[in-house]
Amino acid sequence: MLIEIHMLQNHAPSNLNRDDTGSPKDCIFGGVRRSRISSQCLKRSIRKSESFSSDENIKDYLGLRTRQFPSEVMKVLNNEPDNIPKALLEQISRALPNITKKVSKKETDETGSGATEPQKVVTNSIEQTKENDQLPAITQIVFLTNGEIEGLARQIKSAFKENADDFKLAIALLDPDAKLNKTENKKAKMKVLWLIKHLSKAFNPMTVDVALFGRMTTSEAFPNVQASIQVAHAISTNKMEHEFDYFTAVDDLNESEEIAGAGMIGDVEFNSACYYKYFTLDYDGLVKNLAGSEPPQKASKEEKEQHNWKIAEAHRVAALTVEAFLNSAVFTSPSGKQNSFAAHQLPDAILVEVREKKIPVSYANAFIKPAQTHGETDLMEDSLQKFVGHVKSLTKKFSLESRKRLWFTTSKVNFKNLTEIEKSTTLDEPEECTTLKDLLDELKKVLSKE
Amino acid sequence: MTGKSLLFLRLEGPLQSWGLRARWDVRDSGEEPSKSAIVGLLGCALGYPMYDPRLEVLERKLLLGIRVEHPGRPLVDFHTITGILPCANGKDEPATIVSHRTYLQDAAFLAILEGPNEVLAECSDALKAPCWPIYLGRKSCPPSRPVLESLIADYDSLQEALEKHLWDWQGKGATKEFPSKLMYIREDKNGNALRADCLRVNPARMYDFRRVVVDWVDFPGVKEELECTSRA
Repeated sequence: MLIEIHMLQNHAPSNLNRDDTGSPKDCIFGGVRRSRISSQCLKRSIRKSESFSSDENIKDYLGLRTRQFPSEVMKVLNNEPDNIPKALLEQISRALPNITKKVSKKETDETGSGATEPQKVVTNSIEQTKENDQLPAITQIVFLTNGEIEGLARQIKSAFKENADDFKLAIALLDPDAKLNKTENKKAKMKVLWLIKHLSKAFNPMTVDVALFGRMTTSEAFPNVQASIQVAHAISTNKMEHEFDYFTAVDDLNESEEIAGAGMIGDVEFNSACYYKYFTLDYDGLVKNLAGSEPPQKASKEEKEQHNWKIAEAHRVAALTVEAFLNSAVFTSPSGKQNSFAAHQLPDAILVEVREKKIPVSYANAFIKPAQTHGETDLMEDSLQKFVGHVKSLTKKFSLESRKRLWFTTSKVNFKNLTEIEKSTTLDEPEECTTLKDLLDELKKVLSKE
Repeated sequence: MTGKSLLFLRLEGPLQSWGLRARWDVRDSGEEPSKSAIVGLLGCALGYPMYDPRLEVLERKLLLGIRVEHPGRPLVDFHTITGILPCANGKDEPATIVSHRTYLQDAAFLAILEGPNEVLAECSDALKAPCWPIYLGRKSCPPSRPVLESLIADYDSLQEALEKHLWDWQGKGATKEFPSKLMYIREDKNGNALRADCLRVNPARMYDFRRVVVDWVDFPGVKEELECTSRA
C-alpha cells in the first residue's frame, strides 16, 4: 500500500534552504527557474521537529537516544549475572563501549562511507565522560528501546553459556585494559565477530524515525535500513524572483557624529514562493522495517511466533507513525534564516491518496507553466486550480487507481462537479475534509483496516 | 501486430539522477539513464534487493535503447550531512560533510527494452504492481507519470521503435516548437561508443562496459495532446 501526500504551501519572503553561496536553492522546471527546498532539508526538519519527536503516541518508540547504553546494559547484567564470574563482568563493562566502535568508523545522519577494518581499539579513543560513576559512553548516539537493552543482556548471558572460552577471548580483545599475545590476538578477532553476530540476534535497534527515513551506516552492529518514505524536493509553483535585503549592523553605542556609518554591511538573499511538496510512503515497507527481518525457514516455532507478534505491533506503530509524520509535515518549516524572516505559513491544501499499487506519481507537472497572480485570482488559487485540473487529467489518462482520496483545503477550490468522463471508476470525488483533524481521522480509519 | 516484443518505459520527472561514478561525497549524473539504473528500477519493481544476483541475470538478458525526448540540464545540489568524524588523535569530532549531488532538470527519456518475451512480460507485470515504489535514480526523484508505458510488438526491431515511436513529454505545453532531431543511445555490439554501466553484482560496485550506437533520428511526430490544464 502506498500513501501519497501532496501539499501546497505558500511562504512569505524567506530563505528557508540555501546553498553554499547563501542563495535560496533553485532549479529549472518547465524551462523556468523555480525556488526549491531540498529533499534532505525537508526530511531533517521534520525528523528533528518538536512535533515529531515529542508526539504523544510515538514518543516511546523513538527510544532512548543515548550513548549510555553500556551502563544500562550493565545494570541489567549486574542484577542477574547468572553464572558469569565477577571479574568477567568487570571486563564486560569495559568492553561494551567498544562493541560498536570496534567495527565502525563513523555513523552519520544519512550516508556513511569509508572502509571498515577490525583493529585493536586504543584506550584513549573512548570518550571519558564519567558522570556519576557511569561507564564511559560510546561515541555514537544509538537509538534503543528498553526491550533492546534487556535483550542485549540476555544475549550476553547466552553467548557466555554457549562457549565460555570464546566469549572470554572476545571480551579480552574488546577490553582496553586486557593484554593479549600475538596468537591470542589473532584468534580473538574471529571470536569478536562471532560475539557480535550472537548479540545482534536480540539487538535490533529499530525506531520509527529510522524505519521511516532509513539509515545508512558502515557499522556491522547496525544494519542498513532502506527508507520507507520518499521525499521529493519541494519546487515552487511560481517563477522564482531573486531579491536582496541590503542590511547594516549599526553600533548601538556609537553616538559620535564623526564616526557615522555602519559597523557592518551585507546582503541576504530571499524570495517568496508557493511550494509543491510531495511525499510518498511505502506503508508495507514501513511495517517491515519496524518488525525487523523475518526469521529464516529453519527458525524455531517460538522465533516465528515472536515475529508474528512483532508484525502486529509494527502495524499499530506504523499507523501512529504516519499520523505523527503528516502532522509534523504540516506544522514544520525548515529553519533556514527564520530568525530574520519568521516565515511560518501552513499549507493551504493537502491531498492524500492511498493506493494499492506502488506506482508513485508526482503532480508537479501541474505547474509546468508557472502559476501566477492574475485578475482576481491570487497565486495560491491559481496553483490550486492548476493542481486540481492536473490531478483529474492524469487520473483519467493513466487510469490511476486509489483506494481512498482525502482533500483538505483552506480555499474554495475543490473536485466537485466532475464531468461525465471524469466520473469514471478511477476518479471519484475525493472526500473533502473540513479540518486537518478530519483528514487525520479519516486516514486513521483507512490504516486501521490493514 | 507481429513484430518484436518490446517494453516501453517513460522516465519523466522534475528531477532525475543517473549516477555513473556516484558514491560517497560526490554524486554525479550521466546525461541519460544508465543500463544499471534501468535494471535496478526493474529490480525494484520485481523485488530484487541490492546485490541480488538475479539483477545481473536480468541485465544479461536485456538490450536497452534510450531516446532523449527532452535533454536535462544539470543541477548541482549543495547537500550537507551533519555527523561525527573520527580524527587522528583518536577522538570523534562533530563535523559536517559537504556532498555535491548532481540532478538532471526537466529531462524526459523513452527507454525501450528488448529481450525474451517471458522476461519482458514479467517486468511489465511487476511495473504494474511494484514490490517497492519506483523512483528515477534517487529516492528524492519521484516520477511525474507512471513509468510503464506499454509492452507491444508494433515494431520489427529496437532501431525501428526508436525511429518511429511517437514523441511525448508532459512539458510539451511549455515549449514553443518541437525538436527536429532526437538523440538516441542503443545497445549494439558493433556500436561506435562505450558505456561503463553494465550492472555486475560485486561489493566494489564496479561496472562492466557495453558498446552502444549514439546517433540521431528525425522527429517522429507527437503523441496526442494531454488535456490543457493551465490558462492560455
